[in-house]
Amino acid sequence: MQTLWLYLYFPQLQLDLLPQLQADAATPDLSKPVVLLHPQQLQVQQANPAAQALGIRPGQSLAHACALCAKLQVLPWQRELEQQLLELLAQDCYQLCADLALAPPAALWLRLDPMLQLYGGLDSFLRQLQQMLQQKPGLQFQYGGAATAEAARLLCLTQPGQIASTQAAQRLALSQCPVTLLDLAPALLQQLQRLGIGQLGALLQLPATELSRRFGAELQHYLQQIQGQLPPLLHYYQPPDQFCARLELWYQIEHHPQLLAPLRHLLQQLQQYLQRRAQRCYQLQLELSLRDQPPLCLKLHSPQAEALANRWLALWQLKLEALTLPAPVLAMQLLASQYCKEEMHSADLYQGKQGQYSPLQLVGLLQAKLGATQVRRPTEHAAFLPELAGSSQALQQAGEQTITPQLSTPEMAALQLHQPAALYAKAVPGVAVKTAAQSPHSAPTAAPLQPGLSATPLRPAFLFAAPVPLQQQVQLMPGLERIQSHWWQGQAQARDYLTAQSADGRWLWLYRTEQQQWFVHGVFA
Amino acid sequence: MQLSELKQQGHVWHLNQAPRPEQTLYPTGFAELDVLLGGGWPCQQVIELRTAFGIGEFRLLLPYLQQQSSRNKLQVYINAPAQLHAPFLSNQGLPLWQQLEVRAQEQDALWAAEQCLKSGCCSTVLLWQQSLNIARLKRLQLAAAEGQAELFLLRPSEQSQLSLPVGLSLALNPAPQGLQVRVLKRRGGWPGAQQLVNFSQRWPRLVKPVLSPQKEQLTPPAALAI
Repeated sequence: MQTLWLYLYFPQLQLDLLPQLQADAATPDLSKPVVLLHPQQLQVQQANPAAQALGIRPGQSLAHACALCAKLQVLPWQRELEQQLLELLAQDCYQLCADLALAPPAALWLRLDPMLQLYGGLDSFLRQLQQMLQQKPGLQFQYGGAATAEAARLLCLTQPGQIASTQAAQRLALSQCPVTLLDLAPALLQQLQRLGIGQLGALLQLPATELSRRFGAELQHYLQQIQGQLPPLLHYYQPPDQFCARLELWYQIEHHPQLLAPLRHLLQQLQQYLQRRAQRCYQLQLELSLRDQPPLCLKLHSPQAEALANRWLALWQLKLEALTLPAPVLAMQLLASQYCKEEMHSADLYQGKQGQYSPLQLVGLLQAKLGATQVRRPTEHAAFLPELAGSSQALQQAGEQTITPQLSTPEMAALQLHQPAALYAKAVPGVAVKTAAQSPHSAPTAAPLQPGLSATPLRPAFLFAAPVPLQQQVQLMPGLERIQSHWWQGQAQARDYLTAQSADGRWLWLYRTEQQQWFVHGVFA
Repeated sequence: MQLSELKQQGHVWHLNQAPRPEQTLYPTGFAELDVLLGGGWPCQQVIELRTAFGIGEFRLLLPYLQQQSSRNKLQVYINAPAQLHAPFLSNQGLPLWQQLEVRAQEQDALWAAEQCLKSGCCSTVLLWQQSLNIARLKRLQLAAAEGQAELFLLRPSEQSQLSLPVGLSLALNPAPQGLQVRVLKRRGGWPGAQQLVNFSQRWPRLVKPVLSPQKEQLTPPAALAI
């Protein structure tokens, strides 16, 4: 079957995308000559149009470039950044084409023949590709198409924009291609040139057996790859399973408000990533690389899974307000975890005015500002000791179910039925105390008839986290309730609970221990 | 004294700014309090309660909270003096999933109250707060109207220096049979009215017993010095 490959090359990838990386005042002015310099070879790697107009070309030495322009701005070329940008472009192209491979440092291979039927021909595919790439303003690109991957690369570099879809057309188009562009060892290239073989067409005319005898199998295999007799050795691109993006800053950040602009850039990448997968995520981790300090790791959790950059940014803003940076920030990395499917909620059109946030979003907002443990929900447990029967639980890692209406399951109902808080209620002389055993548990119906003698024992609205020793004069009310801990709960406790009113009119819930010590445990409020 | 000053202090008001009869009021659940407040708690407002902690102020709000729980919105308690006791709430028919306890520093507490009110997913916010300035209070009022929520501001009664421009301000004092409620300020009404809210029907065990001769013999020594 006839294959068709497209080689997409971005000659100025890093320089073109520079303004988008950090929309900030510190970005160099690209209307002036700017070059990216290879940090090891000290050669110009990429030059912007203003620099090229002055005669500066990639490959020149720094001294040469500076001689041509005295006011040249020189920035380092970063291999990791280039790779990262290329992967971002690959993510974009993956939306159009299923089979693609990275060709570092700045190119992509796209296999088109399986996709043409979907797009209805090559022209409409190329149109869509161009539309997508033009969404990144300033990005220069060139492409070439041929029946094999390597031929597409050569065609892109020699005659950009040309598509040679058949073997014959490809052979014709590449006949003038200089051998220096071939992906071969430098020694081999030198050998070919010394023999007077300057163009690919001349090389292909030579008999194959002669070539392999003289130059070894390497050249033979390479030529077979160009001609489509051997399949190309490529690793097809797979989109990452987890979102992770890193941003090296051009300058050091010392105050947290400045962190928001680069963070927004990362969050927008996250938004794009999540929206393409119809996902949201619960948790983000931000790692700040600091100068002379170990990196600072911040975690942010949103109970309502979010995808939108703006929502996350609002939460980060609250989180970062509380932060003082121990040292200037050099780079930041954003990592997302705990994904879930995007679920579309439809609001009721007739419900009237809708709220700004959902309950979970509100909880997320409060947690981001105040800390995760500061937002709590009272919870009930089947226990006798009051401090165990009712406690407040931090809404951490809370799923949807914890803050939305819960249906009372049969188990829950059974649990509540076996939860009389008084295990032993002892009648003291002269005081009528109803025990849990005496009273039927159908409290709601009985209550209106005998107000106050409901089956459920009287409980205060507020409980002190730690009981306070009683230090004031109080007036005790009739009624006593004994509560004992279970025998397996460590030190056995038996407490006699009483209701009392203090001199200033406060209603207290007291208990007396077996050692005759008195504590205030709750307030009826 | 200028008329504008009097207006500013709330001693004189325009009748067309008085609360219209169709303005929704939530019944308080206590008939005598409804009479005092002209029908009930005004809705979407900031209501100030000057009260000590523990004299029955929460039980005064309880019928209202029970009635609001059917709206399926959150009820937020910010900086409550002690932690809420879940068995009490569920006994009283307040769904626990609606209850949210928030602890924060003073300034953060105001921020949290504003966010909760604005969010539109809360029906009631109870805020225990010592100090508050007028600008912050206005923000809270706007937030309450925006999010259709009610804010109860619980302040200690001794802090009576600054009178805040709230729609309703009540002073609560303990009384043997319940709570003595005094109107400190009411939009469209005069201050100073007093009413005893009787708890003996709802909370017979949390009022002082009326000592009848027979019962007196049965009760243990009333005051106990410890």
